[in-house]
Amino acid sequence: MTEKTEGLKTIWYFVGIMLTLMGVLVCLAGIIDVFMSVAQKTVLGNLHPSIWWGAVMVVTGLIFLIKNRGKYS
Amino acid sequence: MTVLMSGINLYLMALVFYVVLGWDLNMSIWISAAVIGVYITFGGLLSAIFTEILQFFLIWFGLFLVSVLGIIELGGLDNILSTLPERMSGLWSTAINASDNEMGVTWVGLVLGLGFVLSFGYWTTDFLLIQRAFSAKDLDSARKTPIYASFFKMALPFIVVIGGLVAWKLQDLGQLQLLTHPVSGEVWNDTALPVLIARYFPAGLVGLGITALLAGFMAGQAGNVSAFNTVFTYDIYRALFKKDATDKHLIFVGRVTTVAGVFLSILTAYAAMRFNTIMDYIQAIFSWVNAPLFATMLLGMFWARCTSAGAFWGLILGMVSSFTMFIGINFGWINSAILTFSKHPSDMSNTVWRAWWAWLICFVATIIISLFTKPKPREDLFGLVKGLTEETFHIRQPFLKRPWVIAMAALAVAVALNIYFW
Repeated sequence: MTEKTEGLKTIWYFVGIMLTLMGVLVCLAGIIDVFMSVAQKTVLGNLHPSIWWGAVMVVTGLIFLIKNRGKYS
Repeated sequence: MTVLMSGINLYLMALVFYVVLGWDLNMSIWISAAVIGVYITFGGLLSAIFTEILQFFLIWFGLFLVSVLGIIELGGLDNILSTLPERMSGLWSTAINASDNEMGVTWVGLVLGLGFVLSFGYWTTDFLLIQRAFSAKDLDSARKTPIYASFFKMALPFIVVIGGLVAWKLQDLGQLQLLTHPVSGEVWNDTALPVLIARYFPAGLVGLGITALLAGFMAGQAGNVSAFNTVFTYDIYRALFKKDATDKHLIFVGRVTTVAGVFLSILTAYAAMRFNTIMDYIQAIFSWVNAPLFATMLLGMFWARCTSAGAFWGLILGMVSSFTMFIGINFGWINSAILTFSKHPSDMSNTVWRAWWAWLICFVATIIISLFTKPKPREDLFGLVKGLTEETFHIRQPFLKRPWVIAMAALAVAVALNIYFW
């Protein structure tokens, strides 16, 4: 089966963009919280979930982006 | 059916605005409806399916963490499960006697009503799911989609059930207070997830969590309204009123139907609000519509002797009997202990058994009526009934990509989960 080389980019590419962008934003918010000491106000805020969960989203998003770069639907 | 389900999503979307942002519930319902109405009216089914894919990832990334943090706070999953009351500690071990579990149902009711009728009915008669199969690029994708989806369906309780258990446990420990239901005045269990998001998620994550909840409900509503729009436009309007309609005219009718569907969803959202938990409402709808429809679908697909009159009147009889049982039990005209074989029936056990009886009534009535009415010529049933249809599905695939192999893997995971939560 031959792959398409033009047309609309595959939806998985957009999934990658969305996860990467949102991951960066969540991660940045988490880093800012550390300096502003805002994260401490939520339960388990001392674990800084925004930072590591944002990082997980970025990594997943980049995997989608790289794997689907140049693919079209 | 799709409009009733759509109302649920609309109501839950409004609930998120109400709990997290403190907006008025009525205003939230109307604003949510307007947003979805606009994007389906102009984008159609394609926009609904594309946004569903994006929303799928948002839901998992936005809500998975709630359960993870809940488990961490309560000292691990085993710790949560081991401290549950005996009645909530197992799936099958507490289902020998109806009085041993919270649902008030035995394993017979679970297998027949929930496992067979409601579950099979959901996967095979919910038009939202069927429409996704219709829009697949080929037969192989259509067959594999529900099988792959089953893995995520089995993982979903990690968010829903574990999240619910965390909320229940924290409330039991006096560390969490859920909101009070505006109609019944009882604890509002539907607020558990938004309240947990507010508890665990700091600034950046709380936006993701709210977006995930909204995405889930928005996907559900958009899918249901677009399904309603398709069924009305193609199966009712074009089939009965205007057989020679042009594509342009059908698109216009589809858009008008979408707007009507959104308004009907608003009405059903207020109906959903009257139930204390949304699960009771969903299962009630399924027992009225999907349970008898599943019997019709089974006979229609596998029994060539089934007639149109048998299917139609059997379905009507099944639906009417289900709704009559619902009304009868709620108004005290019918003793639900007789229908459920339980001395202490709950709303859920009523629903599970009602689904089974509705299915059985529809199944038996369809067979009897079909045997007394004129069957269709067999040549008219080619392509419609199993056994009379030539199956042309012969794609050679690698072993691990064959549908039955993936289905067996899904079955193995289901068995393993049942044993773990026995």
